[in-house]
Amino acid sequence: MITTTHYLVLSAIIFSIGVIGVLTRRNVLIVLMSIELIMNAVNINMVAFSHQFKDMVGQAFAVFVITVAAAEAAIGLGIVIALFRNRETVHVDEIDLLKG
Amino acid sequence: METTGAGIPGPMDLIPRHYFFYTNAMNEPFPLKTVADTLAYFGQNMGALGPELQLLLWALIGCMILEVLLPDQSKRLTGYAALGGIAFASFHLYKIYVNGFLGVFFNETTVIDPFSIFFKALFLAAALLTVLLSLRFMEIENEQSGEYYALILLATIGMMVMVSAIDLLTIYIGLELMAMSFYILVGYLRRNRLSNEASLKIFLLGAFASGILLYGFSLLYGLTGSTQLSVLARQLAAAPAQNREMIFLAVVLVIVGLGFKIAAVPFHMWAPDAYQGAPTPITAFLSVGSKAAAFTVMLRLFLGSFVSVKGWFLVLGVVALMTFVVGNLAALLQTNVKRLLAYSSISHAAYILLGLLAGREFGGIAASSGYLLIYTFMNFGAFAVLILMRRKGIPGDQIADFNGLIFRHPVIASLMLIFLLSLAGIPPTAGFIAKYMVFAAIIKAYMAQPSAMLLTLAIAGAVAAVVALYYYFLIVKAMFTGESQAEDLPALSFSPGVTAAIVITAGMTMWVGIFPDTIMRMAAYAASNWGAW
Repeated sequence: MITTTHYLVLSAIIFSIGVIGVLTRRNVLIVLMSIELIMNAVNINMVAFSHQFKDMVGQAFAVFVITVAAAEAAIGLGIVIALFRNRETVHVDEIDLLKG
Repeated sequence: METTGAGIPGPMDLIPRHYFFYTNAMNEPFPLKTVADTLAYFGQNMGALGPELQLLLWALIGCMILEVLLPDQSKRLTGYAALGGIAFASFHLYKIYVNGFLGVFFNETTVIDPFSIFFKALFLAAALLTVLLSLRFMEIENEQSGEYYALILLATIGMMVMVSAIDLLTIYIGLELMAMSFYILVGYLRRNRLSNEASLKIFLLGAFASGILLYGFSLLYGLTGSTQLSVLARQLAAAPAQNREMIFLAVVLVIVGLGFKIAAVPFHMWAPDAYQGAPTPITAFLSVGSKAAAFTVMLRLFLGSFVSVKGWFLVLGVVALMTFVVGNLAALLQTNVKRLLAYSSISHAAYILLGLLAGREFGGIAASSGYLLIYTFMNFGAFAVLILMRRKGIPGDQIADFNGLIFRHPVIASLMLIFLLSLAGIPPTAGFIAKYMVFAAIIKAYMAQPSAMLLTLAIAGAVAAVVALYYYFLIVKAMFTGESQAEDLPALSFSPGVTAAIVITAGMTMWVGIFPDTIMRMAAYAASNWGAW
């Protein structure tokens, strides 16, 4: 029997992987993927709670999160392409013109 | 949960009741059976979104379609379309204000209360100033186009949705609409490497922050079974003791997520980079609009839904203290005016947090709201002067570029002095009134319930104001005593838009400083009937 707790543990693990990915990986695309993982951890949480409460709001929330994540990925990749045209790099460490 | 019969809920019961019913004039539930019913329901509610719909209409039809139709040399007209949208939205907002069209709309996800009217006016003013400043600036940068103005309007819609939102989902949608418009706007100078880099940084950290915020929201939903702020407040107050740690975790995640948006330390790393790389009008809009919008959500959440939660006061207090220290000390080392103003904007966030921490009973909401409105004018003023300094071939954003400005342009230099004095909080400028309101609130709170944290915050705020004076006067010193190196500098880039923006901001900064009662009444209005819905 899979209970809500199982979903929450799974979601917490995915969330942690996402956060660690954002903080440690240096490739912009992998950072983007880690952010997607965080969003999906949220979705699992929302749908699990929605199932537990028998309340549709959580699922509606998850659908909105998926939609927004898609838009965010589009913008993110657009920015990466604009940057790559000018700089030819996708490494966070090399993107260092602004500092101080 | 509503169930039709006893026992197992059917598939239709999974959908909350209010998705199918609305209340008629007699306040009885009324099923939306026909298309006509549904249309009537939307008709009733759409009035609440009047200003947002106006902006959307002008952004899509005014700016975007004109962009396609107009030849390259008259793209500036799209900016005038944006001004038209702002004018119509302001008119609609004014009608809402005059007619007292207050209430809760769209199945308790949107509220029109004095607080939201006040902040919608603030966002419209910020958008107006941004467009005025952009008209010439984008021409110099060779990036004049309709999408730019459309995105400014869309970001404004996002902010307006945020301040009206009383549901976690609506807050999130508004936040993302605003944030995504800003990701693009910050990187709008796509041939400029600094702008690309700024855009990437604000995007990565902004998306990360909204992920963390969302995780906090999902935990709150799990703990309370609802996404509505009013239900959240009730359920959190009645939460069993074993849930306390989990609630605290959720609230901390929300603090982290919103802390990024208001650029509070330690979540401020993106701000100086994004501010420096972005087109200057967008920097001004970002430092005012996005901060104010995130603060409205913070005020609604922390002084509305989380009042019963223990512990957030201490966390936010420490955040405010760190913001005072880091924001002011880092500003001392800057040579770039945009970066300097970025750190100044970070330390202003700490003052606004003081208002939040003082709490609702002691006028904290009015203080924060008034501070944000005054900050809008003085900050836009400083950025408007910075935009004048941007000429063909000269970025004009180093402190050294201000050298000897008083001898070449005495009026502009004096106005810059007024804006900087106001940012530092010296009377008789508006900035003093802003600081006065915040300190009055926090001292009142301290008198009522003395705590070491409130005392430390008040002292830190006072010390920070002195430190801030030093770095603002770096610019003043350059303007008044610096030797201008080159004699044949091109003239400042005056244009009707920038002149209008400077007149508005300088006028407000001085007027509010000398006659503060109007702004205080407006701030009191914003805090009136707060959370009554």
